[in-house]
Amino acid sequence: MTGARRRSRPASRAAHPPPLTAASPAPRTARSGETLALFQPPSSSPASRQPGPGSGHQPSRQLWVYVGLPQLAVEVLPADGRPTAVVAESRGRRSVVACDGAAARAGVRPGLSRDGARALEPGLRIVEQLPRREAAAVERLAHWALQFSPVVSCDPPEGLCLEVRGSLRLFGGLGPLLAQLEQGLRQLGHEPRLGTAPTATAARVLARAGRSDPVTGSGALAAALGPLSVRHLAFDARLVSRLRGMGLRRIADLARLPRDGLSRRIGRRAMQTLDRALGRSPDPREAFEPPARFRAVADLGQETGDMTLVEQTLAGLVTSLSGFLLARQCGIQRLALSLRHLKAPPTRVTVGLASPAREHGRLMAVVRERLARVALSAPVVEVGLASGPLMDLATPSGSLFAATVRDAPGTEAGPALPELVERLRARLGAAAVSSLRRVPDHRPERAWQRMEPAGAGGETSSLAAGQGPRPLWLLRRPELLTTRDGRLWLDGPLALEAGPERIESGWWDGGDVSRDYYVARDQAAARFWVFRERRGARRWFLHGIFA
Amino acid sequence: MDIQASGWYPTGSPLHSSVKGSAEGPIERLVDGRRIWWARGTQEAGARVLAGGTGYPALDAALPGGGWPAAALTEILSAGPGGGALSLVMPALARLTAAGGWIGWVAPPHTPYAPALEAAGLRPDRQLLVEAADDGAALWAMEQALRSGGCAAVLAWADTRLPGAETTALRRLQLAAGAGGSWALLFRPLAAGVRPSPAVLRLEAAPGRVRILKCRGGRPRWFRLQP
Repeated sequence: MTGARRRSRPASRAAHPPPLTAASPAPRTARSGETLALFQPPSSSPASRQPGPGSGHQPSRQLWVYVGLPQLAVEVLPADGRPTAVVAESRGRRSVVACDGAAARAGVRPGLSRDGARALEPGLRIVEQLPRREAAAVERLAHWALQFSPVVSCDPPEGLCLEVRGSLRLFGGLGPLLAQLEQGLRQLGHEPRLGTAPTATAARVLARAGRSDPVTGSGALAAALGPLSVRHLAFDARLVSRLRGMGLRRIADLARLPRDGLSRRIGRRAMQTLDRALGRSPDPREAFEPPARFRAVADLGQETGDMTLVEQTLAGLVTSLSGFLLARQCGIQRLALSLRHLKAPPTRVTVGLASPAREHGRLMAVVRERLARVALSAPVVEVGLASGPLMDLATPSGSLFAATVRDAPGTEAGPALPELVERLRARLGAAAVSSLRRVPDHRPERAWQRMEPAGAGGETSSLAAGQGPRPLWLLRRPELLTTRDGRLWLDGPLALEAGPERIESGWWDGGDVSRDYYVARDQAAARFWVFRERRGARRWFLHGIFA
Repeated sequence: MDIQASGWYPTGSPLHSSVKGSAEGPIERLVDGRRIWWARGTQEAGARVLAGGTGYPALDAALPGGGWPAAALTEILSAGPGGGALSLVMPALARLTAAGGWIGWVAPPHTPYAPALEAAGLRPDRQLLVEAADDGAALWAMEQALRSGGCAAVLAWADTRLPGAETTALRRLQLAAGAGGSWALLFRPLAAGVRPSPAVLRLEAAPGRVRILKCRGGRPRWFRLQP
C-alpha cells in the first residue's frame, strides 16, 4: 500500500511558523531626541519574510486611534430616565442591540430577545434602532474630532478612527491626546472605548476588546492581538461559531495557519480583515471631508460710516465668492454678512435668496437692498462674508446663435420672477410679497389665503358652483354700516339689488358665521357687497366692493 | 431698441401684435425713436398694443392700435375702488394670466379676493401681491417689478400727490415699463386728472362708462361700455 502518502505540509513551514510581523525594513536606529518612545526598531530579519499578499508591503509609520461607541444606539435617543434598550430585527426576530447602564444592571445584554429583555426588566423602554440618526451623530463627531487630527474616517455605526501620528507633538504625547479625546467624548454624552494601533483595523479590534493600552509598534501588534478572541474581528456570528468548532478561538490561532487553506475556509473578506488587522496588507480608509463653505474678511483700513465704501468692499468679496461657486458648480441661497466695529459687538446681517444663485449681479443686488435697511450703530472697520451651505447649481448652456427674438416677458416664471421676489423682499420684508390661493370654505373671509409665489396652486372645488356674485375687493375687516331714514348709508343711500345669499358655516372651529349677503348699489352706481347678521344684534356690515 | 425697430415678433405671441411696416426708412426710424408722433393711424407707426383688444368693442375702436399700449404706462382715474376702473382691465388681465403671465399688485387698497379673481378668469396663483408701507416704497416696488420683466402687467394704486417730483416719478415708471416690456397700470383718484402726466394713455373710469383723457391720436370723449 504505497503511493497514497498523506500530503503533509512542507516541513519548513510546520517547523518554523512564519513570524507574524510583516515584511520589515532594515533595522533603523531609533531617532534620538524624539519626544515619544513610540517606535522600536523591528527585530525580525528580512530572511524570514512571510510571503503574504503584496509581499513588499511596508507598514507605514501611522498611528490610528479608533473611537468605538458601543452604546451609540442608546445615546442618540433623548434621555428618559427609564432603563432603555434598543432593538433591531436580525435573522427574523427582534433582539437587543444596545442598552444603557440601568438596563445592563438589570441583566439586559445585547443579543437578548426583546421579550426576554422585557421579562428581566418590566419597566424597560424599548425603542427601534435609528440608523440614520446614528450615522448623523457619527458625522457630527467626525466634525468635532477634526480638532485632533486632519485625517478622520467615519465607520458607522460603530464609531470613527483618527490618524494621530502627526498630532502627537502638538498634544504633548499620546497619553494626553487620548485623555483629551476621552474627556471630550464623555462631555458630549458618549461612552467611548478607545483603541490605539498602527493600523485602523487593529485599533478597532482593540477597541472592541476593551484594550485601551496603546500598541505603538508594528512589532508589538501581533503580540497584542494574539490573545484576543476571534469575534472581535467583527466576523459573522456563524463564522465565529464555525471557527470555534475548528478549535480556533484566538487571533493568534488564526495567524498561525497557512494562508491559502485558511482563506478557503473563512472567505476572502474575512481573510482581508485579518490581514489588515495584522498589518500584512494596507488598510486604506476614506477620509472624512467637511462640506466646503466660503469665508472671507476684508479690512477697510479705517473706521468709516460710509455705506458706499462698505458696499464696494463687499462687492469685491462677492466677486471672489462667485468665482469660488463657479469653480465648484454650486450656488448658495443664504449669505451672512458681518460688519465689525471697534468697540461695539459686530452687526450681523443675513441675506436670503429665493433660489440658489451664484452670479455676481444677482447676489450684489440683494446685498445692496438688504444693506440699505441696516442702521449702523458704530463706524465699520472690517467686513466679513460667510456663505451658507453650497447647493448644486447646473449652468445652463449658452446658445450658439445670439437671440434675435426677445421673449415675451412674464410668460414663464423664469429667472426673472424669483429674482424680483427676492429683491422686493430684501427691501420690504419677507411677509410683504406673496401670491394668492383659493380655499374651499364657505366663509368669505376664509375662502382665500396667501401663498408662496410659484408655489403649488390651490384646489379647485365644486364649491364655486351655485355661489352668488363675489366682489373683487374684500375688506380686511367688515365695516359697520349705519342706517338713516330706514336706508343703509355709506356716503349716500344704498339700494339693495340682489340677494339674499345665506352663508352659515364654521360652527366647528369657533368662527361661526350666519349672514345674509346682498349686493347694494349707491348713487354713483358703484356696487357693494353687504351682509346682515342673522343672530345677535342683526347689524349691517360692508364686506366687499365690486370693481 | 434695435430689436424693436426691426419689427419682427413671433406670430401668435400673446402679448405683441404683429407690426406692419418693417422697412427701415428714415421716417420709421424717427417714429420708432419717438422723435415724431403720428397724429392719426398710429398702428403703422410701430406702437405696440396688447394682443386681443380690451374686451370692450367700443373702447377698442377708440383706442389707437385697438388695444392697451404694451410696454408703457397707462393711468386710470376713478372715484375709488368701486369706480369701475378694475373691471375695465379685467378681460385683458384674464388673457395674460391664461397665457401664464404674472400680474403684480402693488399696494392695493383692499385685498384682491381670490374666488372673485378665479371667477373672472384670473388665476390666483399667478398674482403677486406686494404690500408697501408708503407711496415711495410702492413706486420703487412698481419700478422693480416693471424693469425685471418678471410680470406681464403691474397694477399700482397711488394718491393724488406723488412723493418727490411727480413727472420724474411717472417718467421713470414709463421707462421701466419699456425696458422690461411689461404693461404698467396706475390707478389714481379723479383729482389727479388736472395734473400733467407722461403716461401714454389716460382714462377716466366710472361704473359702466369710460372717458379717454389722453391717448395717441385720439380725442377726449365719453362712451358707454358693453363687454
